[in-house]
Amino acid sequence: MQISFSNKKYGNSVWLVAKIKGEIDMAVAGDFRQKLQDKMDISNCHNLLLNMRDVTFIDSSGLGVILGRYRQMAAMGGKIAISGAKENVYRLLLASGLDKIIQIDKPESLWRTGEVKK
Amino acid sequence: MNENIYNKISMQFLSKSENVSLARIVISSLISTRDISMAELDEIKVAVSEAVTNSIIHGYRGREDCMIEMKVNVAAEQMIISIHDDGIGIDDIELAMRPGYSTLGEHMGLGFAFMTSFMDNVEVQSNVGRGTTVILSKNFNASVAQATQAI
Ligand SMILES: Nc1ncnc2c1ncn2[C@@H]1O[C@H](COP(=O)(O)OP(=O)(O)O)[C@@H](O)[C@H]1O
Ligand SMILES: [Mg+2]
Repeated sequence: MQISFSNKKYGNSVWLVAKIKGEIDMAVAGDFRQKLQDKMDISNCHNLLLNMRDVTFIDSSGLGVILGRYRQMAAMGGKIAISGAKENVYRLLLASGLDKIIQIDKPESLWRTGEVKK
Repeated sequence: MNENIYNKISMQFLSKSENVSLARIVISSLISTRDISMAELDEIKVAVSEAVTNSIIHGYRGREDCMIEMKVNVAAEQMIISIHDDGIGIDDIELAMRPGYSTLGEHMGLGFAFMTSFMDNVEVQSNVGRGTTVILSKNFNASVAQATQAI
């Protein structure tokens, strides 16, 4: 798993964008959590966008880290959003119920086939 | 020899976190030759990942020097994966399998829920202080199974 950060301005708000690459399982969950936390601490940004376009696999260990960061952001009055998830990752995000608390972009491939509405 | 068995493996590995992906790779290559969808393959990988992760973090409480055994049987119509640890065991299996139930903080309690929803059958055998075996089964598409058998 690799992760790189940038800041992007959308309208009036500044987002910390984390671009994640690779597989997120228990082997990298600690590192994933730490890197997000460190960056959130120093960036002082209350909006976090996880770009998951290059994530090829995630299981409940990875989803747990995302839930933990959501709670941290929510406690500070911030938000978290997810973009670019591939179908398999998107399905897991739905199965975990994270879509109920986090805004998640639907994969293009799914709205093309009509499986989900855009 | 059972004529019906298409492939069969048995392996043991240390309870190290990097071996979770090793287990997934083995499963992927074992079934990539089967006629199943990418979505199904991904779901089986998640189920295996959850079971192996549980053996490490719960069964062995994070110790990396214990052994996990994975056995896989691939037949024409079905695949059976069993994952075994000699760890602490589970006292109340029904409670442990309840979605959202976890005995560790920052864990979602979704491992068993994913295994159950992504596989056709999940069986858990456990003895406190002795260990746990999780048996995951997946049925392949019946028509595909018939076609394979006919060859
Ligand atoms: N191999 C195992 N050995 C001992 N306990 C286990 C094992 N697998 C699961 N458990 C117990 O079942 C609970 C639920 O497991 P799971 O659904 O994967 O959720 P989580 O791993 O997030 O806690 C765990 O918290 C643990 O108490
Ligand atoms: Mg688990």
